[in-house]
Amino acid sequence: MQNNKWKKWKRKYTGMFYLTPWIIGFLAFQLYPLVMSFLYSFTDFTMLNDYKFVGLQNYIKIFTNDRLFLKSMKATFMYVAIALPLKMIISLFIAGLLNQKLKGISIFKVVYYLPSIFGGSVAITILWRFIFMKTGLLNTLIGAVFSGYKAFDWIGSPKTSLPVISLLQVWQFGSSMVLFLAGLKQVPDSLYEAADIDGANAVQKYFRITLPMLSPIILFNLVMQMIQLFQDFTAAFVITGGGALKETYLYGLMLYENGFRYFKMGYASAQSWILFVIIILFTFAIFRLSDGLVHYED
Amino acid sequence: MRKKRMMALLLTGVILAGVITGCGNQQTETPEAAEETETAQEQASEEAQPQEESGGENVNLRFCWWGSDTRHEKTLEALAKYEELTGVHIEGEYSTISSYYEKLVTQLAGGTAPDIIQLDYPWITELAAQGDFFVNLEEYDIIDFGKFDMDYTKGWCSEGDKLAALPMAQNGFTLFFNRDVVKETGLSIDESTEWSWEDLIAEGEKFKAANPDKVFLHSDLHTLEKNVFKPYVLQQCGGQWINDDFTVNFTKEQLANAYAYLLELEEKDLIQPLEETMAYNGNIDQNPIWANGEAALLIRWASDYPSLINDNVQDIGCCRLPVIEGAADTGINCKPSMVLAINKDSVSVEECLKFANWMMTDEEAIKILGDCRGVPATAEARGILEENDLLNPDLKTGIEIASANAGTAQNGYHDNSEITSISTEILSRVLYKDLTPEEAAEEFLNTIQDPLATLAGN
Amino acid sequence: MKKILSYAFLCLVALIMVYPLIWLVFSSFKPNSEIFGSIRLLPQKWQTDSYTLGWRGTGQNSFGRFLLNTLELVVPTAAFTTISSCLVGYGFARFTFPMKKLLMMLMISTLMLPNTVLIIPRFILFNRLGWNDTYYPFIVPALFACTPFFIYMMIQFFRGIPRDLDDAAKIDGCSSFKTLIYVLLPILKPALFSAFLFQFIWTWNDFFNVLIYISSVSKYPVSLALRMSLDSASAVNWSTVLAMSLVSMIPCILVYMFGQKYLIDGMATQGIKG
Repeated sequence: MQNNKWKKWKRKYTGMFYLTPWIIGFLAFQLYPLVMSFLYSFTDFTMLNDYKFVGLQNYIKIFTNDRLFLKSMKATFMYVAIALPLKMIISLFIAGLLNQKLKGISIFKVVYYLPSIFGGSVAITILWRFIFMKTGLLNTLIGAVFSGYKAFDWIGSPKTSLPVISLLQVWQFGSSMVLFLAGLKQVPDSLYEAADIDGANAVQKYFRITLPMLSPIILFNLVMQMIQLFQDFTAAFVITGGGALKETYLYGLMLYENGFRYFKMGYASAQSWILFVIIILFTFAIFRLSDGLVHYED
Repeated sequence: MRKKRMMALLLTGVILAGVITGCGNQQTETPEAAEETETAQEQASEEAQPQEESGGENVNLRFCWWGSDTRHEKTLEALAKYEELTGVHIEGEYSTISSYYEKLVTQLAGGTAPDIIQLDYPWITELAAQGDFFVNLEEYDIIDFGKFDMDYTKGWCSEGDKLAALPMAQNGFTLFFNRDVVKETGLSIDESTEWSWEDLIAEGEKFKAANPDKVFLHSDLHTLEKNVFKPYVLQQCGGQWINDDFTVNFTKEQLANAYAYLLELEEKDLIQPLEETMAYNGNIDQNPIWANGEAALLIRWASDYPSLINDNVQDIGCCRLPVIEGAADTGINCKPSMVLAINKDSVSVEECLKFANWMMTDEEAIKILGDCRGVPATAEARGILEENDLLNPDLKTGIEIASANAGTAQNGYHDNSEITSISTEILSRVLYKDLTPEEAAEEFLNTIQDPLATLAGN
Repeated sequence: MKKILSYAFLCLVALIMVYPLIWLVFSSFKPNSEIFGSIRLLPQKWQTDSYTLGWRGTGQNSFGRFLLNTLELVVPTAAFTTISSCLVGYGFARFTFPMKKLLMMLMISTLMLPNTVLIIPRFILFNRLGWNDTYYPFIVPALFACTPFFIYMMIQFFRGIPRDLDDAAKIDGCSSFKTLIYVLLPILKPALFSAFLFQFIWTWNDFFNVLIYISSVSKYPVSLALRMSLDSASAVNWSTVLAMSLVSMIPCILVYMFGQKYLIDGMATQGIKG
């Protein structure tokens, strides 16, 4: 009897037990900042003042009287829409190529990962300018191919500045690639062997075995990259400063400026929680859509 | 069954052990530290020191500044000298200007800011709006105010009746010229030149006609806003950029004039198109036009002189910023390039003040520091440096020209970050031909109402 | 034929990917005017002292010191993150318990609030714990799996492993922990390595958070040291900055190269049946 009860209890809570580190960590280190930022969003907190509650004023202002909010929102959606699919497709494709058993393949694995090691280093500003300035690498190359080409500055021109900074994200596809590689390594060879016996060709194997087996990682990369891209502003910060007519004024940059430059931390908190809701909606949507598509082994 | 349970327990043990040993090292400090931060920050600075000899005369202070390698080295040398003389140890916390302010504000919010703090003057106003952080220097009889130009000091460093900081160095807008380019192109400009803005355009048109490949006025959006747009407006309306009661002096027409002037500069090709300088915005030094000796003129802070010299550009001079004819004010900003404030919650305000006084008035300190922070703000220090040949003469000339024509000392709202970024953005829309000067003037007046109201609300 | 095509394609893409980096390497030997003014690959005038100058560092500390500091900060952070995230991920992926869905959503949602507005309350919290000017604000949260990115990542990798393996181990009398250690971890090596690698590089490159917490120059990691002397009013020697940026990448590259073998021969080849 006793034993049975214990067994039941144990089955119920062993999982919880493994969660202990995170639960402690969440309660000790994450909950307080989260709750505080939520509270700040209803105040006129400047970071240093004795703030007072202002009700929904911040939220009302964001939607009725903030000339940059929509502009920034638009830029951010564009940014995600350009960078996310490109990054996903390229990293998936390259990971597939790198997963072949070829000689010297490990050199390529290093080479493709190198840009990701750079992060948002100061060197990035210099590098991007070297490629995209009026007399830069890209214009030189295009000029060499098309003789009548009229060079312009890609970073300084409002029409191209956003795609140019999105490319930085695409260039740094290494992390997604590594995860895809790690995922590919988990696909049992026996599956491919079985498929060979059935006479499947490479394309069939890719779509029937590789993609389904990789789907948990694809979902993970998709969700995480999306969350990260919605908040990211490194490129906008170091390359354009949000500029060329605010075309690259990403949401994260707006938050940073409102919070740390203009001392409107309460207001920035409210904007953050709006972004939070947007990201949550997208995440839910992706989870919903992926329900039947992602293949789990358990 | 038992076995599994044991395993599970063991695992918790492992995790907890990790936790405890992980925290073990500072466990001894933690409880005190928690109390200390609540009562006073003093201990925090002591805690940073390994030797915990609290009490006694062993004072340890922290001093934060930003700057270049030379400034870091010379300031550290001065700190070492001071320790040798007085036994007071001052730990230098030096870094870059980028994110310096963000860090400082975070530290002030957490109560861990250093004792002695290098600031940019507008921060005094910005921070004062949010709380009381710095010592009123006049409450103590330690600083030798006789050595400071008190009109200048109070004009730039006080907040209400309170003197919150001391100016460390002087600064001012100047029009720099590359002498090689000037010689080569026959541009008539020297130290005594006092152009109006119209002269600048007239000279520029001549210059461009003869040298279409050269750039007349090297620029980026940031410097155009700060060094052309704002002075141009202030020269028309005079007084403060933003008044202490959060009204403004300039009119729509005056703004439109300034926008129209900048547009003219761009349309006559006297500055590079904004599109091409956008990638260097805020980092004008990295635009190779100046460094390669392809530009004739540049408006910068006098203190930026050292950054304008390189292998190709060795010989530069400077003269007065252009001023409108019949100007109400020269609009030449002569802010202190850095100011020094003392944290109100310091372990020992007296010791901080003694050090600040030594650093800025003692002959030995002045000699050690040289011109690593620019041209010192006290006449005595300038004299000492000149006698000992420690002051860059070109740097000095620039400051003298600017100071001789100084405009009204601007309050801290002059550089309010939000209004500045609105102003910069609207200027960029004019230069990108997204707005006409008249539309821009209207847009500017409308848009700044909200931040002005916010400032007034504080 | 297919192999040659693969090679050709990989080489082409690799060239596009790294040409800018190669340019950067050569730029660390150029004077400023060439770095900013020309798109030539090779320096016209070789400037060889940028590495020695940069290594000497500023004032009291050499660059080597900053590298050691960084290791002291980054290695425990990355190691603890990997271990703790693995345990928590295991709990989420392999067990059912009350409120699991809710907890999981809660965990992922902590990633969705931008860092900017969390900095101040977090700073105040860690400061109350007396952790200002120490590496604890990075290491201790790592111990408690405070980067949900990695938890979720581990969950997804766990879920890609057939549950039959667990069941087989269970029948053999393995406890859940033993199953994790002896059966699942070997398969998870690529994932564990990825987690370590990412956290290593991210912490290595982190500028803002480190800036906020670390005040003593003698405790600066390289991300701070690299920008310590960038000042607008004096001539910045960019070749030195680039040189040290490149040097500071080396440890990250080494970690990647060393661990790369886990991405090549994962345990999957050892005959696990799907």
